[in-house]
Amino acid sequence: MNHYTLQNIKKTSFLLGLLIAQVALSQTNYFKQRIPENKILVVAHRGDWRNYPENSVKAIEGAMKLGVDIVEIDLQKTKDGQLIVMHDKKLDRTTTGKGEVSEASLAEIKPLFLKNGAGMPTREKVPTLEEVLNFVKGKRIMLNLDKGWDFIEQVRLLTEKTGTTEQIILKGNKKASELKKEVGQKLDHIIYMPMVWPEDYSIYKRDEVINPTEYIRDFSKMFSPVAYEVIIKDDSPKADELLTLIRDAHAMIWINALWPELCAGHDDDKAMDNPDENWGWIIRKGANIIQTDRPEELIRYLKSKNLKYED
Amino acid sequence: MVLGQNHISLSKFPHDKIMVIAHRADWREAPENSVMAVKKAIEKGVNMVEIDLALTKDSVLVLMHDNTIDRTTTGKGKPSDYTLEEIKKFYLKDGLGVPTQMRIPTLDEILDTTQGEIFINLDKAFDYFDLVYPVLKKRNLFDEVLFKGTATYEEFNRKYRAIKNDIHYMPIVRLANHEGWVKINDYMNHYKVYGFELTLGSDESHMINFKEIQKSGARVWVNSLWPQQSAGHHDDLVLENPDAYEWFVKNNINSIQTDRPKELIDFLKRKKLYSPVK
Repeated sequence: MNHYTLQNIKKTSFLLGLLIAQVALSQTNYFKQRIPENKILVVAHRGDWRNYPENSVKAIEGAMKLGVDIVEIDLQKTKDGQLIVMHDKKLDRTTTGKGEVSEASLAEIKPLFLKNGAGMPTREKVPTLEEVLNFVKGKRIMLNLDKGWDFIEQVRLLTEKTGTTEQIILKGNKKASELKKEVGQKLDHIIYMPMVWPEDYSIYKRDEVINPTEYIRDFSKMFSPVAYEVIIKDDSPKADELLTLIRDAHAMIWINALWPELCAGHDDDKAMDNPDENWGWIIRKGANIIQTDRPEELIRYLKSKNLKYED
Repeated sequence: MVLGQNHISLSKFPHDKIMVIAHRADWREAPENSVMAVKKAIEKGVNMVEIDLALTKDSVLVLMHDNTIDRTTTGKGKPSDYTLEEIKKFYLKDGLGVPTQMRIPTLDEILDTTQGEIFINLDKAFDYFDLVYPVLKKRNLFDEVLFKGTATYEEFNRKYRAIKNDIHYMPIVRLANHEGWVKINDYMNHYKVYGFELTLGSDESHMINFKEIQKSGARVWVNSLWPQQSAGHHDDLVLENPDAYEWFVKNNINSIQTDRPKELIDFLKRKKLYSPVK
Protein backbone atom coordinates (compact mmCIF):
# COMPACT_ATOMS: atom_id res chain seq x y z
CA MET A 1 0.00 0.00 0.00
CA ASN A 2 1.49 3.33 -0.95
CA HIS A 3 1.58 6.42 1.22
CA TYR A 4 -1.09 8.28 -0.72
CA THR A 5 -3.73 5.59 -0.22
CA LEU A 6 -2.91 5.32 3.44
CA GLN A 7 -3.42 9.06 3.82
CA ASN A 8 -6.77 8.73 2.12
CA ILE A 9 -7.85 5.94 4.38
CA LYS A 10 -6.80 7.97 7.36
CA LYS A 11 -8.77 10.92 6.06
CA THR A 12 -11.82 8.82 5.31
CA SER A 13 -11.79 7.18 8.70
CA PHE A 14 -11.38 10.59 10.31
CA LEU A 15 -14.41 11.90 8.40
CA LEU A 16 -16.32 8.73 9.21
CA GLY A 17 -15.45 9.26 12.85
CA LEU A 18 -16.78 12.80 12.71
CA LEU A 19 -19.95 11.57 11.06
CA ILE A 20 -20.46 8.91 13.73
CA ALA A 21 -19.82 11.47 16.44
CA GLN A 22 -22.45 13.73 14.90
CA VAL A 23 -24.99 10.96 14.56
CA ALA A 24 -24.33 10.00 18.16
CA LEU A 25 -24.80 13.63 19.21
CA SER A 26 -28.11 13.97 17.43
CA GLN A 27 -29.31 10.81 19.16
CA THR A 28 -29.00 12.29 22.61
CA ASN A 29 -32.35 14.03 22.18
CA TYR A 30 -34.81 11.51 20.77
CA PHE A 31 -37.59 14.06 20.64
CA LYS A 32 -35.82 16.03 17.92
CA GLN A 33 -36.48 13.24 15.48
CA ARG A 34 -39.76 11.54 14.70
CA ILE A 35 -40.43 8.72 17.14
CA PRO A 36 -42.58 6.06 15.46
CA GLU A 37 -46.06 6.00 17.01
CA ASN A 38 -45.89 2.30 17.79
CA LYS A 39 -42.51 2.37 19.54
CA ILE A 40 -42.05 2.69 23.30
CA LEU A 41 -39.32 4.50 25.23
CA VAL A 42 -38.25 2.99 28.54
CA VAL A 43 -37.52 5.12 31.62
CA ALA A 44 -35.61 3.50 34.49
CA HIS A 45 -36.78 4.88 37.84
CA ARG A 46 -33.68 5.95 39.84
CA GLY A 47 -31.50 4.02 37.35
CA ASP A 48 -30.79 0.27 37.41
CA TRP A 49 -31.21 0.19 41.17
CA ARG A 50 -31.52 -3.58 41.43
CA ASN A 51 -27.92 -4.02 40.35
CA TYR A 52 -26.36 -0.78 41.64
CA PRO A 53 -27.22 1.76 44.34
CA GLU A 54 -30.18 3.96 43.32
CA ASN A 55 -29.24 7.39 41.91
CA SER A 56 -25.58 6.41 41.42
CA VAL A 57 -23.46 6.89 38.29
CA LYS A 58 -23.20 3.08 38.08
CA ALA A 59 -26.98 2.80 38.15
CA ILE A 60 -27.20 5.16 35.15
CA GLU A 61 -24.47 3.24 33.33
CA GLY A 62 -26.22 -0.05 34.16
CA ALA A 63 -29.51 1.25 32.77
CA MET A 64 -27.77 2.32 29.55
CA LYS A 65 -26.34 -1.18 29.17
CA LEU A 66 -29.85 -2.62 29.47
CA GLY A 67 -30.98 -0.41 26.57
CA VAL A 68 -32.94 2.09 28.67
CA ASP A 69 -33.73 5.39 26.88
CA ILE A 70 -34.27 7.73 29.83
CA VAL A 71 -33.12 7.56 33.46
CA GLU A 72 -35.13 9.30 36.16
CA ILE A 73 -32.96 10.74 38.94
CA ASP A 74 -33.68 12.93 41.98
CA LEU A 75 -32.08 16.13 43.20
CA GLN A 76 -31.33 17.49 46.66
CA LYS A 77 -29.42 20.60 47.70
CA THR A 78 -26.58 20.51 50.22
CA LYS A 79 -25.98 23.08 52.97
CA ASP A 80 -23.44 24.81 50.74
CA GLY A 81 -25.85 24.98 47.82
CA GLN A 82 -24.55 22.09 45.69
CA LEU A 83 -27.01 19.89 43.79
CA ILE A 84 -26.51 16.20 44.50
CA VAL A 85 -28.32 13.19 43.10
CA MET A 86 -30.37 11.64 45.92
CA HIS A 87 -34.02 10.81 46.51
CA ASP A 88 -34.58 11.28 50.24
CA LYS A 89 -34.21 14.55 52.13
CA LYS A 90 -32.16 12.56 54.63
CA LEU A 91 -28.89 10.69 54.12
CA ASP A 92 -29.88 7.76 56.35
CA ARG A 93 -31.53 5.25 54.01
CA THR A 94 -29.20 5.37 51.02
CA THR A 95 -25.81 6.28 52.52
CA THR A 96 -23.57 5.44 55.44
CA GLY A 97 -24.28 8.94 56.83
CA LYS A 98 -27.09 10.39 58.92
CA GLY A 99 -29.16 13.55 59.00
CA GLU A 100 -30.65 16.09 56.58
CA VAL A 101 -28.93 16.74 53.23
CA SER A 102 -29.64 20.44 53.71
CA GLU A 103 -27.56 20.44 56.89
CA ALA A 104 -24.50 18.74 55.41
CA SER A 105 -21.88 20.25 53.12
CA LEU A 106 -20.75 18.50 49.96
CA ALA A 107 -17.37 17.93 51.63
CA GLU A 108 -19.17 16.07 54.44
CA ILE A 109 -21.26 14.00 52.02
CA LYS A 110 -18.46 12.97 49.65
CA PRO A 111 -16.69 10.53 52.01
CA LEU A 112 -19.96 8.60 52.53
CA PHE A 113 -20.72 5.34 50.74
CA LEU A 114 -23.98 4.52 49.01
CA LYS A 115 -25.92 1.50 50.29
CA ASN A 116 -27.38 -1.29 48.16
CA GLY A 117 -30.99 -2.53 48.19
CA ALA A 118 -30.30 -4.72 51.23
CA GLY A 119 -29.15 -1.67 53.20
CA MET A 120 -25.45 -2.62 53.04
CA PRO A 121 -22.66 -0.17 52.12
CA THR A 122 -21.11 -0.42 48.64
CA ARG A 123 -18.01 1.31 47.25
CA GLU A 124 -20.08 3.87 45.34
CA LYS A 125 -20.28 7.54 46.32
CA VAL A 126 -23.04 10.16 46.19
CA PRO A 127 -22.72 11.91 42.79
CA THR A 128 -23.24 15.63 42.24
CA LEU A 129 -25.57 16.63 39.41
CA GLU A 130 -22.54 18.01 37.59
CA GLU A 131 -20.71 14.67 37.76
CA VAL A 132 -23.76 12.90 36.39
CA LEU A 133 -24.18 15.43 33.58
CA ASN A 134 -20.54 15.04 32.62
CA PHE A 135 -21.00 11.28 32.59
CA VAL A 136 -24.05 11.29 30.28
CA LYS A 137 -22.82 14.04 27.96
CA GLY A 138 -23.12 12.92 24.34
CA LYS A 139 -24.14 9.38 25.31
CA ARG A 140 -27.34 7.69 24.19
CA ILE A 141 -29.31 8.52 27.31
CA MET A 142 -31.60 11.30 28.54
CA LEU A 143 -32.19 12.29 32.14
CA ASN A 144 -35.46 13.14 33.77
CA LEU A 145 -34.56 15.35 36.71
CA ASP A 146 -37.23 14.91 39.34
CA LYS A 147 -37.70 18.14 41.31
CA GLY A 148 -35.55 19.77 38.60
CA TRP A 149 -37.99 22.65 38.29
CA ASP A 150 -37.40 23.53 41.96
CA PHE A 151 -33.76 24.25 41.12
CA ILE A 152 -34.22 25.45 37.55
CA GLU A 153 -31.70 28.33 37.63
CA GLN A 154 -28.92 26.11 38.89
CA VAL A 155 -29.90 23.18 36.65
CA ARG A 156 -29.77 25.53 33.66
CA LEU A 157 -26.28 26.74 34.56
CA LEU A 158 -24.96 23.22 35.03
CA THR A 159 -26.49 21.80 31.86
CA GLU A 160 -25.10 24.69 29.86
CA LYS A 161 -21.68 24.38 31.47
CA THR A 162 -21.57 20.65 30.71
CA GLY A 163 -23.26 20.87 27.30
CA THR A 164 -26.11 18.57 28.26
CA THR A 165 -29.12 20.90 28.05
CA GLU A 166 -30.71 18.85 25.26
CA GLN A 167 -30.47 15.63 27.26
CA ILE A 168 -32.64 16.92 30.09
CA ILE A 169 -36.35 16.37 30.71
CA LEU A 170 -38.20 18.27 33.42
CA LYS A 171 -41.71 17.63 34.62
CA GLY A 172 -44.11 19.63 36.66
CA ASN A 173 -47.72 20.30 37.50
CA LYS A 174 -48.00 24.06 37.16
CA LYS A 175 -50.75 25.40 34.93
CA ALA A 176 -49.58 26.59 31.52
CA SER A 177 -50.42 30.24 32.31
CA GLU A 178 -48.42 30.13 35.56
CA LEU A 179 -45.48 28.48 33.87
CA LYS A 180 -45.56 31.05 31.05
CA LYS A 181 -45.19 33.85 33.59
CA GLU A 182 -42.23 32.28 35.39
CA VAL A 183 -40.39 30.63 32.62
CA GLY A 184 -38.74 33.29 30.41
CA GLN A 185 -35.83 31.69 28.58
CA LYS A 186 -35.33 29.03 31.22
CA LEU A 187 -36.92 26.23 29.25
CA ASP A 188 -35.16 26.91 25.95
CA HIS A 189 -33.91 23.55 24.66
CA ILE A 190 -35.06 21.80 27.83
CA ILE A 191 -37.93 19.40 27.40
CA TYR A 192 -40.79 20.04 29.79
CA MET A 193 -43.56 17.50 30.31
CA PRO A 194 -46.71 18.56 32.17
CA MET A 195 -48.12 16.05 34.63
CA VAL A 196 -51.81 15.24 34.39
CA TRP A 197 -53.90 13.83 37.21
CA PRO A 198 -57.32 12.81 35.89
CA GLU A 199 -58.52 11.56 39.27
CA ASP A 200 -58.51 13.09 42.66
CA TYR A 201 -55.15 12.11 44.05
CA SER A 202 -54.34 12.34 47.71
CA ILE A 203 -51.07 14.24 47.37
CA TYR A 204 -52.19 16.75 44.73
CA LYS A 205 -55.44 18.68 44.78
CA ARG A 206 -54.65 21.49 42.42
CA ASP A 207 -56.73 23.13 39.71
CA GLU A 208 -55.56 20.84 36.96
CA VAL A 209 -56.90 17.91 38.92
CA ILE A 210 -60.28 19.55 39.06
CA ASN A 211 -60.22 20.56 35.43
CA PRO A 212 -57.56 18.56 33.57
CA THR A 213 -59.21 19.08 30.18
CA GLU A 214 -58.61 22.81 30.31
CA TYR A 215 -55.11 22.21 31.70
CA ILE A 216 -54.17 20.08 28.69
CA ARG A 217 -55.82 22.47 26.18
CA ASP A 218 -53.92 25.45 27.62
CA PHE A 219 -50.64 23.59 27.58
CA SER A 220 -51.09 22.36 24.05
CA LYS A 221 -51.83 25.91 22.92
CA MET A 222 -49.05 27.71 24.80
CA PHE A 223 -46.22 25.14 24.84
CA SER A 224 -47.15 22.18 22.60
CA PRO A 225 -45.26 19.79 24.90
CA VAL A 226 -43.78 16.66 23.31
CA ALA A 227 -45.35 14.53 26.02
CA TYR A 228 -47.62 14.51 29.07
CA GLU A 229 -47.17 12.31 32.11
CA VAL A 230 -50.55 10.84 32.98
CA ILE A 231 -51.26 9.42 36.42
CA ILE A 232 -54.04 6.88 36.04
CA LYS A 233 -55.34 5.93 39.45
CA ASP A 234 -58.50 4.25 38.14
CA ASP A 235 -59.43 2.91 34.75
CA SER A 236 -62.15 5.55 34.17
CA PRO A 237 -63.86 7.22 31.19
CA LYS A 238 -62.35 10.51 32.38
CA ALA A 239 -58.84 9.12 32.05
CA ASP A 240 -59.62 7.82 28.56
CA GLU A 241 -61.02 11.20 27.55
CA LEU A 242 -57.78 12.92 28.58
CA LEU A 243 -55.61 10.36 26.85
CA THR A 244 -57.56 11.03 23.63
CA LEU A 245 -57.16 14.76 24.10
CA ILE A 246 -53.38 14.34 24.43
CA ARG A 247 -53.16 12.14 21.37
CA ASP A 248 -55.25 14.61 19.37
CA ALA A 249 -52.73 17.31 20.32
CA HIS A 250 -50.02 15.07 18.76
CA ALA A 251 -48.22 14.74 22.06
CA MET A 252 -46.80 11.55 23.52
CA ILE A 253 -48.10 9.83 26.64
CA TRP A 254 -45.86 8.90 29.58
CA ILE A 255 -47.29 6.36 32.02
CA ASN A 256 -45.63 5.10 35.21
CA ALA A 257 -45.76 1.35 35.87
CA LEU A 258 -44.04 1.70 39.25
CA TRP A 259 -46.95 1.32 41.66
CA PRO A 260 -50.59 0.22 41.32
CA GLU A 261 -52.01 3.71 42.02
CA LEU A 262 -50.15 5.21 39.05
CA CYS A 263 -51.50 2.80 36.40
CA ALA A 264 -54.85 1.55 37.68
CA GLY A 265 -53.27 -1.53 39.22
CA HIS A 266 -51.25 -2.62 36.16
CA ASP A 267 -47.87 -2.25 37.84
CA ASP A 268 -44.42 -3.75 37.25
CA ASP A 269 -44.65 -6.42 39.93
CA LYS A 270 -47.90 -7.77 38.46
CA ALA A 271 -46.34 -7.64 35.00
CA MET A 272 -43.64 -10.09 36.12
CA ASP A 273 -46.13 -12.95 35.89
CA ASN A 274 -48.62 -11.41 33.45
CA PRO A 275 -46.93 -8.87 31.15
CA ASP A 276 -49.76 -8.74 28.59
CA GLU A 277 -52.40 -7.95 31.21
CA ASN A 278 -50.28 -5.21 32.79
CA TRP A 279 -47.58 -3.66 30.57
CA GLY A 280 -49.81 -4.62 27.65
CA TRP A 281 -52.69 -2.68 29.22
CA ILE A 282 -50.50 0.40 29.62
CA ILE A 283 -49.48 0.17 25.96
CA ARG A 284 -53.11 -0.29 24.86
CA LYS A 285 -53.95 2.89 26.78
CA GLY A 286 -51.62 4.65 24.36
CA ALA A 287 -48.38 4.97 26.32
CA ASN A 288 -45.32 5.94 24.26
CA ILE A 289 -43.06 6.24 27.31
CA ILE A 290 -43.14 3.86 30.29
CA GLN A 291 -41.34 4.49 33.57
CA THR A 292 -40.46 1.22 35.27
CA ASP A 293 -38.70 -0.44 38.20
CA ARG A 294 -38.18 -3.54 36.00
CA PRO A 295 -36.32 -2.17 32.96
CA GLU A 296 -34.64 -5.46 32.04
CA GLU A 297 -37.91 -7.40 31.88
CA LEU A 298 -39.88 -4.55 30.25
CA ILE A 299 -37.27 -4.19 27.50
CA ARG A 300 -37.31 -7.95 26.92
CA TYR A 301 -41.12 -7.83 26.68
CA LEU A 302 -41.14 -4.85 24.29
CA LYS A 303 -38.51 -6.46 22.08
CA SER A 304 -40.55 -9.66 21.91
CA LYS A 305 -43.44 -7.57 20.55
CA ASN A 306 -41.16 -5.49 18.31
CA LEU A 307 -42.23 -2.39 20.26
CA LYS A 308 -38.93 -1.20 21.73
CA TYR A 309 -37.77 2.22 20.51
CA GLU A 310 -34.37 1.98 18.79
CA ASP A 311 -32.63 4.68 16.85
CA MET B 1 -47.74 -36.50 42.48
CA VAL B 2 -45.28 -39.33 42.89
CA LEU B 3 -43.68 -39.35 46.30
CA GLY B 4 -39.94 -38.94 46.33
CA GLN B 5 -39.88 -37.36 42.90
CA ASN B 6 -39.31 -33.96 44.36
CA HIS B 7 -36.79 -35.04 46.95
CA ILE B 8 -33.69 -32.92 47.20
CA SER B 9 -30.78 -33.81 49.44
CA LEU B 10 -28.05 -31.76 51.06
CA SER B 11 -26.16 -34.99 51.78
CA LYS B 12 -26.04 -35.80 48.09
CA PHE B 13 -25.01 -32.40 46.79
CA PRO B 14 -21.79 -33.10 44.83
CA HIS B 15 -18.58 -32.12 46.58
CA ASP B 16 -16.81 -31.22 43.37
CA LYS B 17 -19.42 -28.54 42.57
CA ILE B 18 -19.74 -25.12 44.15
CA MET B 19 -22.93 -24.47 46.08
CA VAL B 20 -24.59 -21.11 45.40
CA ILE B 21 -26.34 -19.51 48.37
CA ALA B 22 -28.43 -16.36 47.85
CA HIS B 23 -28.16 -13.98 50.81
CA ARG B 24 -31.66 -13.06 52.11
CA ALA B 25 -32.92 -14.85 48.95
CA ASP B 26 -32.85 -13.00 45.62
CA TRP B 27 -33.29 -9.53 47.11
CA ARG B 28 -32.44 -7.67 43.92
CA GLU B 29 -35.55 -9.05 42.25
CA ALA B 30 -38.00 -8.83 45.14
CA PRO B 31 -38.10 -7.66 48.77
CA GLU B 32 -35.45 -9.45 50.87
CA ASN B 33 -36.77 -12.46 52.82
CA SER B 34 -39.98 -12.57 50.74
CA VAL B 35 -41.74 -15.48 49.03
CA MET B 36 -41.11 -13.86 45.66
CA ALA B 37 -37.38 -13.48 46.42
CA VAL B 38 -37.27 -17.26 47.07
CA LYS B 39 -39.20 -17.99 43.87
CA LYS B 40 -36.80 -15.81 41.89
CA ALA B 41 -33.83 -17.67 43.41
CA ILE B 42 -35.38 -21.00 42.37
CA GLU B 43 -35.92 -19.66 38.82
CA LYS B 44 -32.25 -18.65 38.61
CA GLY B 45 -31.01 -22.08 39.68
CA VAL B 46 -29.70 -20.96 43.06
CA ASN B 47 -28.98 -23.98 45.32
CA MET B 48 -29.81 -22.48 48.70
CA VAL B 49 -31.45 -19.37 50.14
CA GLU B 50 -30.19 -17.84 53.36
CA ILE B 51 -33.12 -16.47 55.35
CA ASP B 52 -33.51 -14.82 58.74
CA LEU B 53 -36.08 -15.70 61.39
CA ALA B 54 -37.90 -13.66 64.02
CA LEU B 55 -40.76 -14.37 66.37
CA THR B 56 -44.11 -12.60 66.62
CA LYS B 57 -45.84 -11.78 69.92
CA ASP B 58 -47.96 -14.93 69.53
CA SER B 59 -44.86 -17.06 68.83
CA VAL B 60 -45.15 -17.50 65.09
CA LEU B 61 -41.89 -17.68 63.11
CA VAL B 62 -41.67 -15.07 60.37
CA LEU B 63 -38.86 -13.92 58.09
CA MET B 64 -37.10 -10.70 59.10
CA HIS B 65 -33.47 -9.66 59.07
CA ASP B 66 -33.32 -6.56 61.26
CA ASN B 67 -34.27 -6.35 64.93
CA THR B 68 -37.05 -3.96 63.90
CA ILE B 69 -39.43 -4.05 60.94
CA ASP B 70 -38.77 -0.36 60.12
CA ARG B 71 -36.39 -0.70 57.17
CA THR B 72 -38.09 -3.49 55.27
CA THR B 73 -41.81 -2.96 55.96
CA THR B 74 -44.40 -0.21 56.25
CA GLY B 75 -44.57 -0.87 60.02
CA LYS B 76 -42.44 0.19 62.96
CA GLY B 77 -41.06 -1.60 66.01
CA LYS B 78 -39.99 -5.14 66.84
CA PRO B 79 -41.60 -8.23 65.30
CA SER B 80 -42.45 -9.31 68.85
CA ASP B 81 -44.56 -6.15 69.31
CA TYR B 82 -47.14 -7.67 66.95
CA THR B 83 -49.27 -10.78 66.65
CA LEU B 84 -49.17 -12.58 63.32
CA GLU B 85 -52.51 -11.05 62.36
CA GLU B 86 -51.20 -7.57 63.14
CA ILE B 87 -47.84 -7.95 61.44
CA LYS B 88 -49.50 -9.34 58.31
CA LYS B 89 -51.17 -5.96 57.78
CA PHE B 90 -47.85 -4.35 56.86
CA TYR B 91 -46.35 -4.37 53.38
CA LEU B 92 -42.79 -5.29 52.50
CA LYS B 93 -40.72 -2.51 50.93
CA ASP B 94 -38.61 -2.93 47.79
CA GLY B 95 -34.93 -2.01 47.45
CA LEU B 96 -35.91 1.66 47.05
CA GLY B 97 -37.75 1.65 50.36
CA VAL B 98 -41.07 1.89 48.49
CA PRO B 99 -43.95 -0.33 49.70
CA THR B 100 -44.85 -3.31 47.50
CA GLN B 101 -48.05 -5.36 47.61
CA MET B 102 -46.18 -8.20 49.36
CA ARG B 103 -46.43 -9.26 53.02
CA ILE B 104 -44.04 -10.62 55.63
CA PRO B 105 -43.96 -14.40 55.13
CA THR B 106 -44.15 -17.00 57.89
CA LEU B 107 -41.58 -19.82 57.96
CA ASP B 108 -44.42 -22.16 56.97
CA GLU B 109 -45.21 -20.15 53.86
CA ILE B 110 -41.54 -20.16 52.89
CA LEU B 111 -41.25 -23.91 53.40
CA ASP B 112 -44.26 -24.40 51.10
CA THR B 113 -42.21 -22.63 48.44
CA THR B 114 -38.79 -24.19 49.09
CA GLN B 115 -39.77 -27.79 49.85
CA GLY B 116 -38.34 -30.07 47.15
CA GLU B 117 -37.05 -27.06 45.18
CA ILE B 118 -34.21 -25.31 46.99
CA PHE B 119 -32.18 -25.73 50.18
CA ILE B 120 -32.48 -23.33 53.10
CA ASN B 121 -29.86 -21.88 55.39
CA LEU B 122 -31.48 -20.68 58.57
CA ASP B 123 -29.60 -17.86 60.18
CA LYS B 124 -30.35 -17.19 63.86
CA ALA B 125 -32.48 -20.36 63.88
CA PHE B 126 -30.86 -21.69 67.01
CA ASP B 127 -32.60 -18.96 68.98
CA TYR B 128 -35.88 -20.56 67.98
CA PHE B 129 -34.82 -24.15 67.75
CA ASP B 130 -37.65 -25.57 69.84
CA LEU B 131 -40.09 -24.08 67.34
CA VAL B 132 -38.22 -24.88 64.14
CA TYR B 133 -37.34 -28.49 64.90
CA PRO B 134 -40.90 -29.93 65.02
CA VAL B 135 -41.89 -28.04 61.86
CA LEU B 136 -39.00 -29.55 59.91
CA LYS B 137 -39.58 -32.99 61.40
CA LYS B 138 -43.24 -32.97 60.42
CA ARG B 139 -42.34 -31.95 56.87
CA ASN B 140 -39.39 -34.34 56.73
CA LEU B 141 -37.05 -31.52 55.74
CA PHE B 142 -33.91 -32.20 57.76
CA ASP B 143 -31.99 -33.00 54.56
CA GLU B 144 -33.02 -29.69 52.94
CA VAL B 145 -32.13 -27.32 55.76
CA LEU B 146 -28.75 -26.21 57.02
CA PHE B 147 -28.38 -24.68 60.47
CA LYS B 148 -25.47 -22.56 61.52
CA GLY B 149 -24.15 -20.86 64.61
CA THR B 150 -21.13 -19.39 66.31
CA ALA B 151 -21.12 -21.77 69.32
CA THR B 152 -18.06 -23.82 70.26
CA TYR B 153 -18.46 -27.58 69.99
CA GLU B 154 -18.88 -27.88 73.75
CA GLU B 155 -21.75 -25.36 73.83
CA PHE B 156 -23.34 -26.90 70.76
CA ASN B 157 -23.14 -30.39 72.18
CA ARG B 158 -24.47 -29.37 75.56
CA LYS B 159 -27.55 -27.78 74.03
CA TYR B 160 -28.33 -30.04 71.09
CA ARG B 161 -26.89 -33.44 71.98
CA ALA B 162 -30.27 -35.11 71.53
CA ILE B 163 -30.95 -33.92 68.01
CA LYS B 164 -27.53 -33.06 66.63
CA ASN B 165 -27.39 -36.14 64.43
CA ASP B 166 -30.81 -35.44 62.88
CA ILE B 167 -29.78 -32.11 61.40
CA HIS B 168 -27.16 -30.54 59.17
CA TYR B 169 -25.11 -28.05 61.13
CA MET B 170 -22.39 -25.64 60.11
CA PRO B 171 -20.26 -23.90 62.74
CA ILE B 172 -19.17 -20.34 61.99
CA VAL B 173 -15.43 -19.84 62.45
CA ARG B 174 -14.19 -16.26 62.52
CA LEU B 175 -10.62 -16.54 61.32
CA ALA B 176 -10.02 -12.82 61.56
CA ASN B 177 -11.26 -12.88 65.14
CA HIS B 178 -8.78 -15.28 66.77
CA GLU B 179 -10.65 -18.45 65.83
CA GLY B 180 -9.18 -21.26 63.75
CA TRP B 181 -8.02 -24.86 63.84
CA VAL B 182 -8.76 -25.32 67.55
CA LYS B 183 -12.47 -24.72 67.01
CA ILE B 184 -12.48 -26.57 63.68
CA ASN B 185 -10.70 -29.65 65.04
CA ASP B 186 -12.89 -29.71 68.10
CA TYR B 187 -15.92 -30.07 65.84
CA MET B 188 -14.26 -32.46 63.38
CA ASN B 189 -13.10 -34.80 66.17
CA HIS B 190 -16.57 -35.13 67.68
CA TYR B 191 -19.23 -34.49 65.07
CA LYS B 192 -20.01 -34.81 61.39
CA VAL B 193 -20.39 -31.16 60.47
CA TYR B 194 -21.94 -30.26 57.12
CA GLY B 195 -19.38 -27.55 56.60
CA PHE B 196 -17.66 -24.57 58.14
CA GLU B 197 -18.58 -20.96 57.46
CA LEU B 198 -15.31 -19.07 57.55
CA THR B 199 -15.10 -15.31 57.84
CA LEU B 200 -11.70 -14.20 56.59
CA GLY B 201 -11.31 -10.50 57.35
CA SER B 202 -10.44 -7.98 54.69
CA ASP B 203 -7.10 -9.44 53.56
CA GLU B 204 -5.55 -12.87 53.11
CA SER B 205 -3.44 -12.81 56.30
CA HIS B 206 -5.88 -15.04 58.22
CA MET B 207 -6.27 -17.70 55.52
CA ILE B 208 -5.77 -21.36 56.41
CA ASN B 209 -5.50 -24.40 54.14
CA PHE B 210 -9.11 -25.15 53.23
CA LYS B 211 -8.07 -28.30 51.39
CA GLU B 212 -7.61 -29.93 54.81
CA ILE B 213 -11.24 -29.15 55.69
CA GLN B 214 -12.54 -30.44 52.36
CA LYS B 215 -10.59 -33.68 52.79
CA SER B 216 -12.56 -34.38 55.96
CA GLY B 217 -15.77 -34.25 53.92
CA ALA B 218 -16.96 -30.93 55.29
CA ARG B 219 -17.86 -28.11 52.92
CA VAL B 220 -15.94 -24.83 52.94
CA TRP B 221 -18.33 -21.89 52.98
CA VAL B 222 -17.25 -18.26 52.50
CA ASN B 223 -19.45 -15.19 52.11
CA SER B 224 -18.60 -13.04 49.10
CA LEU B 225 -21.00 -10.32 50.28
CA TRP B 226 -18.54 -7.78 51.63
CA PRO B 227 -14.76 -7.31 51.31
CA GLN B 228 -14.23 -7.76 55.07
CA GLN B 229 -15.64 -11.33 55.01
CA SER B 230 -13.77 -12.67 52.01
CA ALA B 231 -10.25 -11.23 52.08
CA GLY B 232 -11.33 -8.41 49.82
CA HIS B 233 -12.84 -10.71 47.14
CA HIS B 234 -16.42 -9.47 47.21
CA ASP B 235 -19.32 -9.81 44.76
CA ASP B 236 -19.15 -6.37 43.17
CA LEU B 237 -15.75 -7.23 41.66
CA VAL B 238 -17.58 -9.50 39.21
CA LEU B 239 -19.09 -6.42 37.56
CA GLU B 240 -15.65 -5.57 36.21
CA ASN B 241 -14.22 -9.07 35.95
CA PRO B 242 -16.52 -12.01 35.08
CA ASP B 243 -13.86 -14.40 36.44
CA ALA B 244 -13.61 -12.68 39.82
CA TYR B 245 -14.91 -15.85 41.55
CA GLU B 246 -11.87 -17.80 40.32
CA TRP B 247 -10.17 -16.83 43.59
CA PHE B 248 -12.72 -18.89 45.55
CA VAL B 249 -12.18 -21.94 43.34
CA LYS B 250 -8.40 -21.65 43.67
CA ASN B 251 -8.68 -21.50 47.43
CA ASN B 252 -10.77 -24.65 47.79
CA ILE B 253 -13.97 -22.86 48.75
CA ASN B 254 -17.01 -24.84 47.58
CA SER B 255 -19.95 -22.95 49.05
CA ILE B 256 -20.39 -19.23 48.33
CA GLN B 257 -23.02 -17.01 49.89
CA THR B 258 -23.56 -14.21 47.41
CA ASP B 259 -25.46 -11.01 46.63
CA ARG B 260 -24.88 -11.64 42.89
CA PRO B 261 -26.32 -15.14 42.31
CA LYS B 262 -26.89 -14.56 38.59
CA GLU B 263 -23.27 -13.62 37.88
CA LEU B 264 -21.90 -16.39 40.13
CA ILE B 265 -24.03 -19.05 38.42
CA ASP B 266 -22.96 -17.78 34.98
CA PHE B 267 -19.32 -18.11 36.05
CA LEU B 268 -19.77 -21.59 37.55
CA LYS B 269 -21.60 -22.85 34.47
CA ARG B 270 -18.74 -21.69 32.28
CA LYS B 271 -16.26 -23.51 34.52
CA LYS B 272 -18.45 -26.63 34.78
CA LEU B 273 -18.61 -26.13 38.53
CA TYR B 274 -22.37 -25.64 38.80
CA SER B 275 -24.87 -28.26 39.86
CA PRO B 276 -28.64 -27.83 40.15
CA VAL B 277 -30.27 -29.17 43.34
CA LYS B 278 -32.11 -31.86 41.39
